[in-house]
Amino acid sequence: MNAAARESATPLRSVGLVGRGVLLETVRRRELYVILVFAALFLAGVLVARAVGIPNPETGTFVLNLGLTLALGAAHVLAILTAARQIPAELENRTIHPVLAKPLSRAEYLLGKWWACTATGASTFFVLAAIAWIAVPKLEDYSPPMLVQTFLAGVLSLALVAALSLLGSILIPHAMNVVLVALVVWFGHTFGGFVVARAAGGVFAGFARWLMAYVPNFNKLNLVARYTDGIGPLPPGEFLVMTLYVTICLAACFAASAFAFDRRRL
Amino acid sequence: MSSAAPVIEVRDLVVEYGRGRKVHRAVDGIGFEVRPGECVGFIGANGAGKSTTMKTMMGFLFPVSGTARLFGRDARDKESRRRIGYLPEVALYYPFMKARELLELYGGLSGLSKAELRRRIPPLLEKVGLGGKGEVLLKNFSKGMQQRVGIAQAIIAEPELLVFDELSSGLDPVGRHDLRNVLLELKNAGRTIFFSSHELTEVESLCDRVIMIHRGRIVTEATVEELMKPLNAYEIVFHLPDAAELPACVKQCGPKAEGRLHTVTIPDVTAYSRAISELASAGAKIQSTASKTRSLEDYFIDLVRSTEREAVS
Repeated sequence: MNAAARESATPLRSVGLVGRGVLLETVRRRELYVILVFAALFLAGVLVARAVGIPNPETGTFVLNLGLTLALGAAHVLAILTAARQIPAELENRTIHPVLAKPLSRAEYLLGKWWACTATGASTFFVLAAIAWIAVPKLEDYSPPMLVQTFLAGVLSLALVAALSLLGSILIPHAMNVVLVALVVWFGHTFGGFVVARAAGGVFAGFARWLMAYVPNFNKLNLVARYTDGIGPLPPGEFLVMTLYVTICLAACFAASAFAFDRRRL
Repeated sequence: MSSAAPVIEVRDLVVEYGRGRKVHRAVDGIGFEVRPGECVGFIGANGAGKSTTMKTMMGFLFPVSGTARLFGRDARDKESRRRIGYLPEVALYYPFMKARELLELYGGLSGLSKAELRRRIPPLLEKVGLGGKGEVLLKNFSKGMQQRVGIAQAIIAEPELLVFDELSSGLDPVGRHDLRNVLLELKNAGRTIFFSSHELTEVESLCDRVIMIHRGRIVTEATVEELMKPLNAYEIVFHLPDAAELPACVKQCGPKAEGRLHTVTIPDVTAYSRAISELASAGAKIQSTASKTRSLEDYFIDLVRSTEREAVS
């Protein structure tokens, strides 16, 4: 190839291009529109409530909490579905061969898929949360820095869920992966607590604590209730530790994904 | 053949599918080289091991033993893929993308700048017969159009080596003809081409050399000329008057008759000369004579059948 015609195919550009494909797919598929229809229904409900009149600040807070929680939930659902289907669909349709025949490492391919799935979830969260936040009247004081932390923690959670879904898609069947990741996101903390409590005092107590330490705690990343309850923002140190916790979990997910995917026959 | 370093170097390659008792050896210790500028056809029956070899060369499958190197590097090294254009055996391209977007993706991954992609894509689509289809979603493309887009993605970065698995799969006769022209152009431009195909006439017309694989082993590796050498047989087509009798030397060769028109294949040149003179004496009118050559298809079928017979015995 003519060298002048060739930009250096940097890993970052390749990662960006792979991710762009995922974003195009998301925009042109139906799931996104289903979620937008739900958002429109929620918006209509809030507008009707506003027209009728929201009687007290508690109701307003409840509706805001509901809106933000639904936004975060919908974003997680979309991130799980998008990330979990990427590799199985590419293998089934054999679209993976022409892509990986280009000068692209498998780790770059995974990174490209991951950032785009995270971005899909984060954009959905921002749009839906913005709709809820703008539509609901603020009858109580809410901390703006806490709102920023809520959004950032939501994005961290979505990044982690996308990485987990990608890892699962390499190791286990698609449906099982979706269900398992959803269980970890919404019930992982409760289940972990239950297992540790049941094992307490027994021979497996140590093992249960050790095992559950490896299950990411998505509860800690959901700050919606803290925001709507009017509690102030997390201290910077605590927020930093939370970010570090997610970063370590992400690195572990990536290392495992890259290891497994690199050894997979295509 | 050039003495330059091989572009493709396969050594004692063994690839297996399955585990334990269900293991199936798809490629069984094959080895070959492809030199710069060569056009090599890789042919074999279904399940012979062609696609497995190609997938291993591209780093999609891992060998049990042996090596597959491209440009002197391991097949799994992404640098080795920087100079390759690959067309998979069966590939559907992202149905949610437009043809232009797909080529932007693959060209971008190959390192082409945005400006270069904008310059290259329209004429490339024209070249593969998809002119004006750049803004059409691929889900609306037929199988043949998908194959054309596949060819476009393989050649967009003007790679030095083209690896095509099942070259003309899904293409109609016009598509095959267009593709042959594209390949000839690439071949004349000095690109190295390695492809598998079931269209043996395509292999005959394009390739310098042919590698035949059967049951995971290479059974023949030769130039097309060597494989298609004359059979030393001659075909005579002649009219015989009603009253005339077939000469004995022609009768021996089992002529076929359609009315007064006879066709006979004579096995060697001496018998051929004798047959011509005796036919003339018998009053026959010679319509045509031709030296018979064996087609690649004849060779391939004979080879597969003889290998099957050996396996049975």
